[in-house]
Amino acid sequence: MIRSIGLGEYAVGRDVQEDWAIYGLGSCVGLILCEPTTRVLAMAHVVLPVSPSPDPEQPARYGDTVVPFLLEEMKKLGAVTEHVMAQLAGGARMFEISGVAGDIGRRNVESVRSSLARHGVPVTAEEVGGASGRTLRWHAKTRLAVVSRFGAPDVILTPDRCRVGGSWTDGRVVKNSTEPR
Amino acid sequence: MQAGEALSGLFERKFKIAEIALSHRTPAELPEILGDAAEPVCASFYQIRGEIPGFLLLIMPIDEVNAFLKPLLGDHVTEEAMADSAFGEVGNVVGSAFLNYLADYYRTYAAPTPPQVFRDMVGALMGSLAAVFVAEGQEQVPVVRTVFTQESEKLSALLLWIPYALSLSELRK
Amino acid sequence: MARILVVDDAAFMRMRLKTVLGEQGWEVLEASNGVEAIQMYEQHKPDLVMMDITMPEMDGLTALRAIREKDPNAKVVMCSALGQESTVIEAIKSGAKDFIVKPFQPERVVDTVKKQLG
Repeated sequence: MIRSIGLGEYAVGRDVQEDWAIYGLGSCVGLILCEPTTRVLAMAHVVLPVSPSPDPEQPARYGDTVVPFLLEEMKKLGAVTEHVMAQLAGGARMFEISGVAGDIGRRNVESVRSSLARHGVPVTAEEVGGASGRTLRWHAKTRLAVVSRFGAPDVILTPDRCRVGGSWTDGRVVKNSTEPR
Repeated sequence: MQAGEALSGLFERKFKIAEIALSHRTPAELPEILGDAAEPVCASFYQIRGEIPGFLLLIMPIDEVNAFLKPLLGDHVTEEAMADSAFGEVGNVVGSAFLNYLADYYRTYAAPTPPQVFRDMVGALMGSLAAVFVAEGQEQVPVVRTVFTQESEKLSALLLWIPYALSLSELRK
Repeated sequence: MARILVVDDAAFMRMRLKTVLGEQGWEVLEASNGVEAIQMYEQHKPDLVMMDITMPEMDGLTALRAIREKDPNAKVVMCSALGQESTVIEAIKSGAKDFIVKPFQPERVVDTVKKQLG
């Protein structure tokens, strides 16, 4: 069973038993927040950097509202916000479109990063930028977040601290990075 | 001569619109417009300049592209840059045929930009386009899906016309 | 030996026209946008230009006007998918000798060139 998280949607859970996935992240950003001590997980599909209003109908859609919103939802499930860690994927530059102010992908990444920084949430891994689409999938069985791209090897985002039951076993590339690429 | 054989077909016979369907989608529905958002496709993308702003996309599943382009390119089909150029040109010809029809019917002007050709997941492309509409405050996106024929044979590539809602309502006046 | 300048941003289309025209024994030069077209025209003074319209850097109608301004005798034939009424009229008004709408039969191209070189 795979739960697909569409544009502007989110999911929050504790001891999540099903896979969560965001298929085809272009300029959008897939954000994962994990809290290992209480095993609370949140995932959101961010579309734009800035919300048009302070209290939007879909807070997960915007880089500047998604983080406080998800943290609140995670707290309701018992998460300790000081232990929350973030992983990011997406924010690619797909089309060159004139008239659209700047590069949505890059601005999404920047908006989410600065919001995370404001809330004291470290980014433990990210696979962002470039010009390719990505799929972000969280596998419940191995508790690993994996980024896949068409024609490129998979990348694992989940830091060791968040993993349960050992490492990824089928020989794919493993990356744990605290540096933006 | 091989190049001579390659010249027949797609670039010589006129296109006709076989099917045309308009639907309204929310931005969140765009990534799955052709089914699976993770499906890899070859897509040629155009912005529309002139009086009917919006976008055009020619899309086909990536594993059909070589067969589609082989009659045009012969052995050159394995050169990705040349294949992308040919695919972009097919989209230009088909997309312009569509825009010519609209422009002449509504007595206006609409032209595509040069092509941007992608080989990637359809969801990543459509999701990025959806973001543009969300940024414009548009929560309903008109999508016109057109199937073309050439001498009764359907083109396996699909043309999507995604105008700004304002363009469509202006035309209808 | 007539020289024809083929201007199109699609490498595929340049290859195709080069084949069609080359088979007739004409020499073919290439440019991939309007800016290159103007440079190539000035440098080589071809007998005829086949000009696409939709191109990056500078479109074909702008290049047409620039070439005709410098050389009022320049022979330019538009070769474009953009066959809308307004576009064809503008091209002819700007001095194009003919307008071939894509998709085209190779014979149409050959006949048009022969007529212009005639």
